[in-house]
Amino acid sequence: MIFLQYAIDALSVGGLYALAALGIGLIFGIMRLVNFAHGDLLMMGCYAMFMLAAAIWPVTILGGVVIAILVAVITERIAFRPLRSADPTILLAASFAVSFFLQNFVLMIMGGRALGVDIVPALNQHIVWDSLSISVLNLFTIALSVILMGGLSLFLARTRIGIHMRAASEDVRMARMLGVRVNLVVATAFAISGLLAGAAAIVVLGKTGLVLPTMGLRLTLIAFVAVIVGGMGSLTGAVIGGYAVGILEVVLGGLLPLVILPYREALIFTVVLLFLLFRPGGIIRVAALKERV
Amino acid sequence: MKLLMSLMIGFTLALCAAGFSSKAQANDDPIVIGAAIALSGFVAPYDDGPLKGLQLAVADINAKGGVLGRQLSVVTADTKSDPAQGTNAAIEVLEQGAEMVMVTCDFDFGAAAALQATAAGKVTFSSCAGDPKFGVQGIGPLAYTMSLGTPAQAATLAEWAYKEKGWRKVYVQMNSMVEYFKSLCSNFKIRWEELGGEIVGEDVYNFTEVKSFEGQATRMKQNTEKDFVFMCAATFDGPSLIKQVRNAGENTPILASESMDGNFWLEAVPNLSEFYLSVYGSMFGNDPNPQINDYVAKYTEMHGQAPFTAHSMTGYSLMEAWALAAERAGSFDSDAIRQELDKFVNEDLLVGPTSYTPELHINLYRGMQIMEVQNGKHAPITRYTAEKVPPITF
Amino acid sequence: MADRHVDVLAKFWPVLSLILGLAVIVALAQLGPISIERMVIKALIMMIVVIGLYTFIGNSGLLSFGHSTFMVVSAYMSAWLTMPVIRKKIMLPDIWSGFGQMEMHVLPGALLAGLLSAFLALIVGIPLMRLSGIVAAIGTFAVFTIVTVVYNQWDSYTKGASTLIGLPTYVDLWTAFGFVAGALVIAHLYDQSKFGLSLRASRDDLVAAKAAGVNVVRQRLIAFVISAFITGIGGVLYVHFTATITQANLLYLNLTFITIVMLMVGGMRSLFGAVAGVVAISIVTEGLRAAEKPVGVSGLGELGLAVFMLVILAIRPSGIAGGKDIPLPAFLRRRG
Repeated sequence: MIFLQYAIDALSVGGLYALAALGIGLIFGIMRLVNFAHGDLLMMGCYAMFMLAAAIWPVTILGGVVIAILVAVITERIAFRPLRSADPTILLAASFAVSFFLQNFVLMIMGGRALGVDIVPALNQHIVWDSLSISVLNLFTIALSVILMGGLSLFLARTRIGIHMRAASEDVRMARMLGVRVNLVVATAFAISGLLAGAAAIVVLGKTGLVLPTMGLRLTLIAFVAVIVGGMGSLTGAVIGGYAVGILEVVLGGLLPLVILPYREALIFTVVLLFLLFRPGGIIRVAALKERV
Repeated sequence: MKLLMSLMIGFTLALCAAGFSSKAQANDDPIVIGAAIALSGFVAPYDDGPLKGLQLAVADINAKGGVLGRQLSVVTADTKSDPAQGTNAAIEVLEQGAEMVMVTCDFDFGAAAALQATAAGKVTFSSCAGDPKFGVQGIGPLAYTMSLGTPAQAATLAEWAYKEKGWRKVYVQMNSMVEYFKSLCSNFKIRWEELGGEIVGEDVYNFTEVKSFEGQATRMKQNTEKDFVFMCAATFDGPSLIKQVRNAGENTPILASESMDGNFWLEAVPNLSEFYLSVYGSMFGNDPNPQINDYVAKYTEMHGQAPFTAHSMTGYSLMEAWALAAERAGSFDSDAIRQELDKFVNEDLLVGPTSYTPELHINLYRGMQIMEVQNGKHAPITRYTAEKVPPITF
Repeated sequence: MADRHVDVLAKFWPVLSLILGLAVIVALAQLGPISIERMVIKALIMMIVVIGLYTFIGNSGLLSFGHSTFMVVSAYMSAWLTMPVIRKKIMLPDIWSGFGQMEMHVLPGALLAGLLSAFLALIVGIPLMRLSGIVAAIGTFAVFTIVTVVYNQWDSYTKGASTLIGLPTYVDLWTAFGFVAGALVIAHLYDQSKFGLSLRASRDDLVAAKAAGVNVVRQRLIAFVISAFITGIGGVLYVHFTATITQANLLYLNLTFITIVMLMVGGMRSLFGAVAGVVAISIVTEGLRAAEKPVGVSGLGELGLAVFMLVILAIRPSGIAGGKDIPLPAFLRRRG
């Protein structure tokens, strides 16, 4: 039974990481940009929900998601559009600057103290069955990650702008020549990443109950790793990578003897490193991204 | 060329004048107290209260005529939560003539500033660094901390849990990323087993902002032997752990230390119950000691809001201590003040009885207020002083 | 001046100009108040770190997201070698007696510490340099995490999560300058060597370079090792400047971010870029910090800095230096 509990825990942690990875993976696929400010979109969404905590919960979570989307679209317009064709490393540096800006902005206004909030009390409930405990939030997280991933796939396959987005991620110049409006496509991609960040924000706030200006950092780093492990350029890969890292984290947390537990993070990254050495393309390899030689 | 020369001479003279004027002090000038602390950045929440406490103490002392007939004034410099910047901040307050310097409530963050200030020959206080290294051995003979040392905090909690609550079996949950947590937990375990208690389970995680505590909650729940959980965490991770633990249906009492002080995080775990912690005093207006309630009232009036945590009292008391030592020494000479401070035996300060010796510049035998949270409200239980503290290592 | 003298000067001009320029700045800083001196020293130390970063990133086109590893590794090594024995007895009583009894002179200590980083880079680089672009970056980040987590728990050698204090302080203005000059010379010599040239060829056109016979993995490794040495030295100076080593507040992770931005703002394709980036960001940071005081709102300075970074990157993506060196003055240009 305890293994089942760990499995549920793993899926819950993995689901959150998958949501975060999806957001980063989408932008990476389109623009080869690892948006280091993605976690800060989540942070802004959380602070928005904190400020709206007094309202009824649909308003609270909607407000959070809307803010995350807005910040995503604004940062794209101001910080990333001028750098559209620049070297990926320069784009990465720009995303550092954006992240720095957002964190200090919130720090200046709200202070560095961790503030407690309970956004949707219903999510705290847990279903107890035998010795298993499944929180509503766990189920919510798993459902959310599946729905959003499914929705995103449909969007990319069936809608016009989705198809344009895929075209632009394969070959921007050609796409533009064929009439794809790249500005609109990129802005839409960022808006979607904002939506994904907002969704992840709901999960994070539901789980932790705290807002902190630095709360996005670790998630960004994990999502970054998850995307690479899962396979760059593949959305399914990002989700699988997220679940993989989450499962690894929970499994190690359960199995490791006490003496080694403080080194858990190091072990996770050792596994990641070894995996990348043997399969650099990630779990799901995208042909277009393989080096020609 | 001539113009250039005269400009350079004039510039140099101006610099000298500026340099000299800051040194010369008329006897009516106030005594400057420097605070080289984090006014911005992530450590600021821990320094904010002590600074305000210090300012209140200065106001109180000035109202009674100052120290040795001289008024006090406070200058600040921002370390920006950057340990390296601490040196610059200390230099800044020293340049403004600081006679005594207060630094950050943490050894790691306050050490650089303290090293600089003590090197300049000024008595330096950390408001609430709990590491015994913040003293003679780690920094120098002019360094003091107003805290109750971490080993003593651990012993206090262990003894209270064992003797007052009658608990016997503990599950220890620790964040291994910060020295304070490691020291708290290891000293607790030592004292706990000394008393005859049993450690029936342990768990560790290593990051300040872990999001998902499902694994920790499951492990905790699995352990059905424990009477209570001892938690070494702070307000940036502890509340999340508690939330997920309680959500998993784990309702065993949880005991924590002053790093969980404050009610600004309670919203994270609505209607929290069976949560116990030690604090320097209750900032919620219900401390058994009327002096502390008075302090809260005056602080609220001066600063427009109640103190977020009781650490602010350490800022108040370090000012009390220095002023007392100066009065006794009859001078502002740092060495004379040091000698008086080292003679402190259970001096009655706001934060509690305070003692220093030439070797020990941290408190080990002072009571902490044990509080409980039931249904989301803080209430005081008792003030408890440890009888025996595990040996300290520097 | 004989033509061949002009030639030699012209060849070394890119690094000579930087050294001369910095010497002027350092000389001026000496006249100023101590806070200016400290700011310049910190900037010089950052410069060494960024020069190291440039040596790898600028020439290979790969990103290293874990270069701070070398700062950490070298910093602690230098502490083990050069910290006074009495201090070590208090701070690190359980350290291996070999280190415990040692009190090496700071210069060989720094160099040995740098070599340790170079060695580490060699070991992790052999597998990592086969990976491409962003995957290698994650690889270096993985190494960084592993090392920092281990060091955070390795109490007997690093004091774990606590701060190590009592390091000898020897980093004054001219010492820092000397090390920067050294780093510049090493980086320049590498740049001009056939190794640097081959690596840049692989950066500009991987397929052509391979076809021309360049062993890309080996060239990347060489750059990685040299850059680790330089960055390691930067780490050593950093901790001997602050006299303490601490990993609190994710210090080294934040240094990763800021040094990458400094290099991009300056321009990652030239040595001048590495220097210019550090100078620009240091000036803006300190300027905004000073300007913040009268206004009274803490945090505006940071926002201003972020905006500055974004503006520079937006209007000049190739960086302040634009990938070029300081141009030759007229009298050094060949006639005829």
